[in-house]
Amino acid sequence: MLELLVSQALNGLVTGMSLVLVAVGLSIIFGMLRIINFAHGVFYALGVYLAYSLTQATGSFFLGLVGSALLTGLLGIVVEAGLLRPLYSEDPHYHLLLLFGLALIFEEGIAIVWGLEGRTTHPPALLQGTVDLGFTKVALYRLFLIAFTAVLVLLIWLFLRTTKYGAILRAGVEWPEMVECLGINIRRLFTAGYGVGVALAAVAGTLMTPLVTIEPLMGNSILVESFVVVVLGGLGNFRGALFGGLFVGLVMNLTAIVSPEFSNTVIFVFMAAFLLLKPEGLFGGKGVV
Amino acid sequence: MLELHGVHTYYGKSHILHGIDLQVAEGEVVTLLGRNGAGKTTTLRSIMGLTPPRRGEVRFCGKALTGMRPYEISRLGLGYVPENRLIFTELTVLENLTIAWRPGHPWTIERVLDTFPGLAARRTHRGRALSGGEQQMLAIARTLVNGPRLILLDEPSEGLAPLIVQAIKALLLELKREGVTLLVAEQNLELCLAVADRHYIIDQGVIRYQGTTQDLRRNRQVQEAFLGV
Ligand SMILES: Nc1ncnc2c1ncn2[C@@H]1O[C@H](COP(=O)(O)OP(=O)(O)O)[C@@H](O)[C@H]1O
Ligand SMILES: [Mg+2]
Repeated sequence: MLELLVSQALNGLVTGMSLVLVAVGLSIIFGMLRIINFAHGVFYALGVYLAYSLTQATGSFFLGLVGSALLTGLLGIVVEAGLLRPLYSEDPHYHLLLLFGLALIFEEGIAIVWGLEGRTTHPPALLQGTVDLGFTKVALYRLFLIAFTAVLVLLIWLFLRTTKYGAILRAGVEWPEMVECLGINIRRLFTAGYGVGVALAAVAGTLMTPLVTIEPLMGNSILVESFVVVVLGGLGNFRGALFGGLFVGLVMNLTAIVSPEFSNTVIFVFMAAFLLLKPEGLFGGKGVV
Repeated sequence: MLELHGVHTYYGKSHILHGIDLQVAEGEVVTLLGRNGAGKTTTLRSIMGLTPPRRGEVRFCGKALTGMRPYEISRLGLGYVPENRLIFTELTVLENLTIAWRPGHPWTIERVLDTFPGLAARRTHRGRALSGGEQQMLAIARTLVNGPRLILLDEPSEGLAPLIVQAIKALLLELKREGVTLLVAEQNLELCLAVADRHYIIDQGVIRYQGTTQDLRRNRQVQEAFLGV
């Protein structure tokens, strides 16, 4: 029983940390651009496929990871600067429609380029095998994933919290016009923020690939789960993304011990409860970091 | 240094400014007086490019600002202290100043903290922990370290207790002594008469009066008609 508990808790951390990356990206984008990035899931899936092909081409999982993050981020920059920016002055429904449309186009694009059949991959050779914790064995790759995302999240936090650019970003989230009146080109900053946000989704997806089946629609369930995360934590908030992500990951995996069927439903129960009782989320309205 | 020629500004379909003409010379302190809703903020926003004029022209140091974005206008040397201060509440006092600081002018962060001892004492506090008066001081300090050649100040005394307004007055006089060029939008006539050389009065988006401090002080008729004094 303890073994099962520990192993499911670890799985919870794995799912949770990946969700944290997705939710941090969503939050950065929402904080700066005030839009909910409905194309986030499809950037996640695209990142996975790009990494898959890059890994096959180069033989290196890490080149695939970095290359996919860069390419996805670049595409995000093009989408923000070319398509979203002209719509900011319009009715908010326009970006919703645009993002939904883009998501459908990308999904179809992925299906056309890579096909519909599911694929599986293995962790890189360096990270295969298990680690013996004494009372139970754990896949090394899962531990790597938890550690890697934890370091990444810490670096993002340090960037936001201690650097001048981080401070400009936090300032821009609160009063974009004022930041611009200090001589800072805030639009360029926002474009970069969108790029970084979707690149994080690509990283999250790529890290999960050795553990799941790759298929064109894989971004959809992630998008829904990350919405639960930001409802619990409060959208546009770093701490919210962190705690919300870990919470959702753990709850899903621990519920699966008792009832696998219920594990995907239980998070929506929490979401409904939060929407009714604390709609701003745990950390809503408490700043960005 | 700053000239507005026939500036017309709209919010959507509503026509707010009806051909504003206004000049500020280097080293001058000029005020833009007017009741609530007269168009003071809109005038300053038109200058900064936040709500660009639909007709007319704003020139700064001989250069037309038409079509420029606010960050470009700021880089030319226009500083803006907005109504409601817009302090970055999640940033510390020092961070508020650090992100605004630009090199190449005498207002370093150290100097500004010397000028505002109240802020120096609270340098590690977050913006949201400051009182209204401190936030106003920080908003002015933030614009000073940005190194502008002319500062647009929107209602610096708004919502502040009389004692704090006196502190703001002393600060504006000190900035004037230092040779800082200011365009101050205000409703507080007494403050304006104490700090400025020249005044414009705006009402319903039209400049109704311009004159020197001496002239405006004597002109009860104008004061009553447009300021409700
Ligand atoms: N964002 C806005 N949209 C529409 N009308 C506005 C907006 N801001 C101000 N106004 C209107 O423009 C007029 C001038 O406002 P403003 O420039 O803020 O005046 P002041 O700063 O002198 O109090 C007012 O009638 C006000 O109602
Ligand atoms: Mg105003």
